[in-house]
Amino acid sequence: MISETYTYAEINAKLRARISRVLTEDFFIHLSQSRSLTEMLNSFRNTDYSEIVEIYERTGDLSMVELHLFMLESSLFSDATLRLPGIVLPLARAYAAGYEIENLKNALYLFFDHQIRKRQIDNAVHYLMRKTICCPIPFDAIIASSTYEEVAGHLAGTPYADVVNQYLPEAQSTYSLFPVSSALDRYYYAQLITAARSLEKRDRTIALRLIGIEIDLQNISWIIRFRVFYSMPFERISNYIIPDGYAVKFTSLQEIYHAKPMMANLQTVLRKTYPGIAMLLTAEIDQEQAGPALLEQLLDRIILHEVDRILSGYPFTIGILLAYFILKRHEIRRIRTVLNAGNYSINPERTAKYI
Amino acid sequence: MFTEPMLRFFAIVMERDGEKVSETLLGTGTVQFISIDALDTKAIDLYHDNAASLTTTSTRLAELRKRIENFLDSAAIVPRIPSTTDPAKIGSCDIPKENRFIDSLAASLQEIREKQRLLQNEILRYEEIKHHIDRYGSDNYSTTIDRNYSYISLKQGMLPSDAEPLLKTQIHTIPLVPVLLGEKDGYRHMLLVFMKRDSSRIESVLSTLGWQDRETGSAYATSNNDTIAAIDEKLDTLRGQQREFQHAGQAVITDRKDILLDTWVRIRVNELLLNVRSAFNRSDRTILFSGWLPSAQRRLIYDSLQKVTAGRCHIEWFAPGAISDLLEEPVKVPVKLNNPKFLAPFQMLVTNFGIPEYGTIDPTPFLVITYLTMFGLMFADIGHGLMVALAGIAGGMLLKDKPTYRKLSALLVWCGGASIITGFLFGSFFGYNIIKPLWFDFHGVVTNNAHSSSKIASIFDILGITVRFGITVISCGLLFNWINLIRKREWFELVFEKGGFLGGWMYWGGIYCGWYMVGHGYNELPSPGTLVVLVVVPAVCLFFKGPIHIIKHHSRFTITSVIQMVMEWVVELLEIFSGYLSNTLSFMRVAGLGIAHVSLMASFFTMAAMMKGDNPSTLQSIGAVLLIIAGNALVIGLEGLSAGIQALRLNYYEFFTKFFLGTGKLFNPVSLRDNII
Repeated sequence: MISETYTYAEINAKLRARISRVLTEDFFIHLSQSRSLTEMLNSFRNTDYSEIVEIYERTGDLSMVELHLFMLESSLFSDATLRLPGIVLPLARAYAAGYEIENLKNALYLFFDHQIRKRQIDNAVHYLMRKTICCPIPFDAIIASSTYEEVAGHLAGTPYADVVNQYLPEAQSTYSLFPVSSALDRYYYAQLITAARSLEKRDRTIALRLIGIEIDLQNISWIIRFRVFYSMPFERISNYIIPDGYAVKFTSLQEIYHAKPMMANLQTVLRKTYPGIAMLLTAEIDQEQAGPALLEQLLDRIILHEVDRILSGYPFTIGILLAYFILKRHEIRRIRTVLNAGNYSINPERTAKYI
Repeated sequence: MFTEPMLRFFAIVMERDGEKVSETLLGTGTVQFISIDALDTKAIDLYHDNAASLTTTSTRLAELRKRIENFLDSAAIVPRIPSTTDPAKIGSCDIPKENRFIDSLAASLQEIREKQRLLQNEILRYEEIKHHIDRYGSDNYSTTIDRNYSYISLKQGMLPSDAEPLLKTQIHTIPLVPVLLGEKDGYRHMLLVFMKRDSSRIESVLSTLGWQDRETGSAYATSNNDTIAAIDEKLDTLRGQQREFQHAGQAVITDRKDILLDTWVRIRVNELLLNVRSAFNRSDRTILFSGWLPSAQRRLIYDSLQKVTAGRCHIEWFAPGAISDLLEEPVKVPVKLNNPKFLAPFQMLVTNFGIPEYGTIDPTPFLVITYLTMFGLMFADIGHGLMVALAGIAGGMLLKDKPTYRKLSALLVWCGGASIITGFLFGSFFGYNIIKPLWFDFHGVVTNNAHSSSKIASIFDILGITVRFGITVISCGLLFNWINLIRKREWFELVFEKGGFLGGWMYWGGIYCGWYMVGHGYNELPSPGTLVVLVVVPAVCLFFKGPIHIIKHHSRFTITSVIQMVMEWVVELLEIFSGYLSNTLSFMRVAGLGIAHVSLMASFFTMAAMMKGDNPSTLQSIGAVLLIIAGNALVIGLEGLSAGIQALRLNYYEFFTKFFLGTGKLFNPVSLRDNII
């Protein structure tokens, strides 16, 4: 007990102060009602995100703003000012690696679009994050590669080489990078689980629960997308399911896939597995046509419900750290969504629905 | 000393005077309007509340105002209503028209941003070329790096001299870096650097301009530096253009600053007028409204309304008590604190804790004394106080437009002043004892070098001073509580509350006993008779609190209620004894921090002396001086902050809690000076 307090007392105080500065619901509602992108961005002037106003005024380029937000998000886990307790560093590194994997996936997609699909990638190339997070990766060389073999060659010596090498042939034969992308996601979650298992008992339980919930939500999201948008058979989807979920078992995923209507069954499964969030499951997902954004929103609510649970519980655990990361990640993603909505002049009511 | 006396009024004016009345009321800025729905009389039914119908307009005005503030904020302009504004001369606000104006402003800015975006794209492409040259090189002879991974192309050849301007105009949208290698026979030998993806477009342009390829390794050579210099030149130009666009964006706002500010004032005044009118209840011919105002403003409101309505106005005035009698329930009267402007920093500290109840003591003037005394005792040094005061003056000048920071800066000046005064009392200047102390030598006492004739000769004497100070502060708190309870006519609480007569009796009885013991070498208590009078009698009297409460509320005595009464009595006695003891001893932290302040400085002086040694070199002397400067800076930063926080804590928890409920609601009149930003 004393050692837990000693480990987490400082970080707990620091993070609770930071959590108090997370942008409020009212701020986002006001933001979504802005009548132009300029006004929307100006609203960030007196917040922790004032830098994005400066970037936009200097460049006029929303993609530069988005790149900055991605860099902010990716640095959450390696923020030196937090002075994370040593015990949580492996897990923080595993989380940070998620952004490196995301970046690698972006580079692979650029290679694929450029060399395989012969598409123009001029604009996208500039907005790839070049910062090293865990290990140096030659992103430019990967993008400029002309063959899959060259890509594999450039990744030699990185932790991702084996995963990519294993699934590149399948990507080549299916003319899709999804097998590689999905394998990298599974690798990421496997690393997270390994890091979480090395924690002390109380921290381990909390971390495994949160990671498990994220895995559950990721699996559900995939199942729905693949069936609704790509009509992919379950047997094929099952290859991509991430193991170590918290409450949604393989059979439940199977049930969701085969159910008609699918969304109603999803509600049943979620109610059964996460009884605490039953009230969050409003009528909006009853409709089979519920878009992916709405689904994402619902899944987000589930994870935020977990964060609330952690914040109101025993304070001296890794929970406060994970809650902070999730809240900040959620906040940054909301900002991205609302800015894009502003850029495409989507009406405020619709924007408000998706943030 | 007390909150300002308030009055509630009911006024009835003719419907046709409605606009002028609202403008006048806003102009005076002294009325907090309230709904008259509570008065359930048939006459009121004739009037309809028009707040709902005005809400939509009010919301649209507020949205428009926020849009303008958003733009003004981007140019660091803070809008204010000028003090000379006359609401009657402002005129109405055409919301759609103003929105169209703001839309056009946003569109102009968006247009500039779009140009910036295209320019930024070009900058990024050149940066990308530069990045690749840095990485893979463009030196045609020496490079041995495999360029397969790069996606820039290099092309060397000759272009007719007169075709170069054409090259620039025809491919100005494509990032291309031409590096001049030499000139001969009307041809320019050049190295062109561009992205592989632009090859086909560049090739086709070059073929129309008479370009002739040359093998790499021909008579001319270049190096990475030449190429990078060419790119840097191009990038400088583009970034310069980007800055111009950025300035143009700012100019869109600053050039229209006056229009924006005028529009903002018009919107804000209209918004406030709507706010006033939303409090009006209208019948076909008359308007009825009601509100609170400070008693002192009664004549102003009366004269203004009579004047503007040419006497067609009837007003009735009610004191808060009369309203309570009328409604047959206590009425929540808004609270106006009436302190001079220079006490604003302390009023901020009070309102941060809570708003005093109407009619009770406003602790602001007392806080000035207690807070500054505590701060001064904990941070007694002329030099340190001077630094804090200077920081406050600088903060006040730099943060003029931010009221909260301005008040905090003013507080720093006050605290600095207090430290200077106590610095003179204890003779301390940046930790040096170079001034003769007016009271006693604090440094000497802490470092055991005090003059033997000094009355304050040990740390215990210093602790004793702060305990006495604590007793005085707590006693004031109890006294204020009694005054408040008497004013509120809460006689039962006055006698039996923890901070009432019995609590005070026991507290001072306990203090006397403690003093007696200390005065008798800690081994003698006052006589039993004295003890009974000072402690036992009030404790026994306190037991009657429960029974009197039961009788007062016509409840019945049961076994459970009797057991409960005894338990509550015991707990309350324990609370009184332990609470007051800890409250009093808590003030020893004032001495503690003062001692820490001196000890820290003494430590730095010792360290500096050790650094210097007996025969110091110049370097050692400089080091010692630097150490003392750093030590002073550390003490000012750390101790200053600690002293400020501890003084606040003692006031909030040991002083305010004795008499201050903080459940009042601040008087908030609709006024042109209404600060919404």
